Amino acid sequence: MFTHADRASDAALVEGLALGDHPAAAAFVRRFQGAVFGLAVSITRDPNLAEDVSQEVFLRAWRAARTYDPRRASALTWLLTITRNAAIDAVRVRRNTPTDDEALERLIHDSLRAPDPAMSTLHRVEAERAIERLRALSPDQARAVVLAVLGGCTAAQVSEYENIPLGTAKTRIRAGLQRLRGLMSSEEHHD
Amino acid sequence: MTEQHPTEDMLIDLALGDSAEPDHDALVEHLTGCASCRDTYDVAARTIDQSLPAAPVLQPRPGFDQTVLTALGITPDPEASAAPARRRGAHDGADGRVRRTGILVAAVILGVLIGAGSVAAWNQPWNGHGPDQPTASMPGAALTTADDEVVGMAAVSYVGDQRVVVVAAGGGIEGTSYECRLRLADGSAVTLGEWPVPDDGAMWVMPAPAAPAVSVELVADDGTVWSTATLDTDS
Ligand SMILES: [Zn+2]
Repeated sequence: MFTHADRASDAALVEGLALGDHPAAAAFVRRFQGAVFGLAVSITRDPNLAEDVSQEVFLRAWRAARTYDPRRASALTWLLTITRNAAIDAVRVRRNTPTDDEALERLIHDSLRAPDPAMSTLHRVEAERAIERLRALSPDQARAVVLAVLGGCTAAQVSEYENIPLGTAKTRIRAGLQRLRGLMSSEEHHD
Repeated sequence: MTEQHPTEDMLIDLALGDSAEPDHDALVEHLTGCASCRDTYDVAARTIDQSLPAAPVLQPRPGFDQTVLTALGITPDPEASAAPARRRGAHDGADGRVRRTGILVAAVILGVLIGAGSVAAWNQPWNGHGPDQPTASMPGAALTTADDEVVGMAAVSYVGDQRVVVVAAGGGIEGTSYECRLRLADGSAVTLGEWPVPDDGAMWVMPAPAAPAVSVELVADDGTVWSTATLDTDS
């Protein structure tokens, strides 16, 4: 229930952003910049590019703020969806994402461990749920899903990185997403 | 491609942003005309979106927020910071010169909380209606310092069954944390949270106990009460 209240306050910030209200816009950017930049770095593996992407994300969010519907997604999820798209656009344009093994391993590790206690409450709740669901997958599926969803890797890159055939990579991603969807709908029934 | 449906993997690739031309355009075109594939796609896209909060959080360099706001052309209202502290009249609001900071933000929150979405309605009495509409018990009370400067507002609200206190405030002393205390009718107080109050305002929504409450206090590190909002007696 608390998350719903917090969601309302996030939605209010989006509304303030749409109005161009400085305090609301500033609070919005500060509240979400860590999540946005974090995902941008996960996908680009390049802090400079990630900063450009993050700026672009807030610009896109500002333009789209009036059409944001809090019933469809939390502000965090909405913004992270924009982030993922913008980061993938940037990476595909440059076509030079380093397949930095260390960064990808760290991403897998970080995405499956407990969330940062410094996060805001709502963010922590959403992060905890997402992390818990990922942890419920088999380790192979979890790795494939994290690489594809949070690392922005293509199925071909997942196959290469995990040293498995492309078909296996796709199967792991598909089965992982199906399992996540099942977990999400049982959460919805609980709420 | 209207007759032949793409495989689930192809739709997942599309949702992941992993489909190259010319497949991409053909898929998008197919989706516009095929409800069943669109459902599959939507489910995949939603599952992906809902997993994104698992990504590690990383703070950008200091000053990033300013860069963004400047790029958006959203600048502080010079009048807001130049607004002098004013004696509070019989009714604050209306022509009372209040710190714009927290107030507008809070007005927006309350608008969303009550589902009205109307910034102008914040100081009107209202009732929330409808099954999903949170209801608030009051329109919000001004948070006032000992010098009668209005630094924000506080309100008790309900979201579903959960009672919450919404506080919006600005103009705190930098480097100081404020404890947010809810003073209950029986004289006791409950700490709802502790946070710095940024100069340009921020807001907090905190679950609150069901017991009747009389006021919300923001208490500085050194124990002094910085500002107080007196709630309606039935809060
Ligand atoms: Zn179809």
